[in-house]
Amino acid sequence: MAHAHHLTDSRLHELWEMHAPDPHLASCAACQARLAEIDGVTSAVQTAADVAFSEAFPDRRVEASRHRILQAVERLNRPGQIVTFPGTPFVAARQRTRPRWMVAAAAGLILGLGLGRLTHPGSLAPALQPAAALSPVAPASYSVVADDDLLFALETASTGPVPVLRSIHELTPLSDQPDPLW
Amino acid sequence: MASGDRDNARERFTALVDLQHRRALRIAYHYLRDADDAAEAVQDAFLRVFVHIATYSESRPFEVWFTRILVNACLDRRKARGRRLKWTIPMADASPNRPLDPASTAPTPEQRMMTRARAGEISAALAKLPARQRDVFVLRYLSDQTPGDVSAMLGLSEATVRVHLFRAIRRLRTLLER
Repeated sequence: MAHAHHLTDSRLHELWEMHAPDPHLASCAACQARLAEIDGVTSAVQTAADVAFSEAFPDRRVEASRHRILQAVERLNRPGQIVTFPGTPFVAARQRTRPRWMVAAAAGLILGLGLGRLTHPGSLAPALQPAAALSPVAPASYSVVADDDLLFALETASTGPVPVLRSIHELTPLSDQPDPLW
Repeated sequence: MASGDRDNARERFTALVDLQHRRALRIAYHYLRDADDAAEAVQDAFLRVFVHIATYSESRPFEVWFTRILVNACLDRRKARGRRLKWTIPMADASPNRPLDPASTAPTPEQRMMTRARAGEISAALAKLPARQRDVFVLRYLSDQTPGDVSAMLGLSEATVRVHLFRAIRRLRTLLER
């Protein structure tokens, strides 16, 4: 029979899975051989997999694994509680922070405009007044100071051990130095 | 949560573990080919299920949802192992034909050894399959999922699953004849 008329891989596989009869298959030795190939290899792999699995996981090991899972669940100690794990704290924090800044900036602007109106009732352009008059609009400067503090703290921490730790370090004998007690 | 509800949830989860555990170990073991890694991947998967159980939609079978989580846990572990191995000195006997587990090197009767050797060869052949073919084959024939379930688990069409299965079988035969 011409190759073009052979069953496709997908069709052949489907027939094999369903144990379904097929007129072409009944008369084509090549397709029957392909079907037998599926059967033989699959059975061999399944048998080998059974052997390998039972070697690797005897009953006591399966039981130990099951026990560890249940213990781990017990440690979580929050059955039924929904937690976004593994969470994305940075994204979440940013999403929360950004609107807060916007609200603070808007509040500062409104307050500044109000103060401008009070201190200069005739003026229509409080924004042109000296910056000191609009000081409530400056929450960003707090952030800058806080960031600077944080960066300073990080820099200090990264430049080396702080004096208190250094003294401990100096008291600790290094492994390559001879111990004076010996 | 009331302690009664908590106990109830724990009992139900224990029943779930009992139902899926062995099958999960089998899948993970054939993905990872290492018993310790497999046990850890299964544990990861169950913990993920426990934490995310409320996101499970009953529109598809629990087994499909769980197996997808398990496969992801196996892939994560495989990646982690890859990173670990990058920084370790390769073992001299790290050939693909090495035994699946150190315990299998213990002296045994001849017949048993031959069976083990054959199982080792077949497992090594399985490991040589392209990743997609191996995934499909393991899920279909070593964990008894239907092609429809495998297609849902891996996000492939059922026809594609069948083609991968057939190609996997053909490739396995070639590998085992060598």
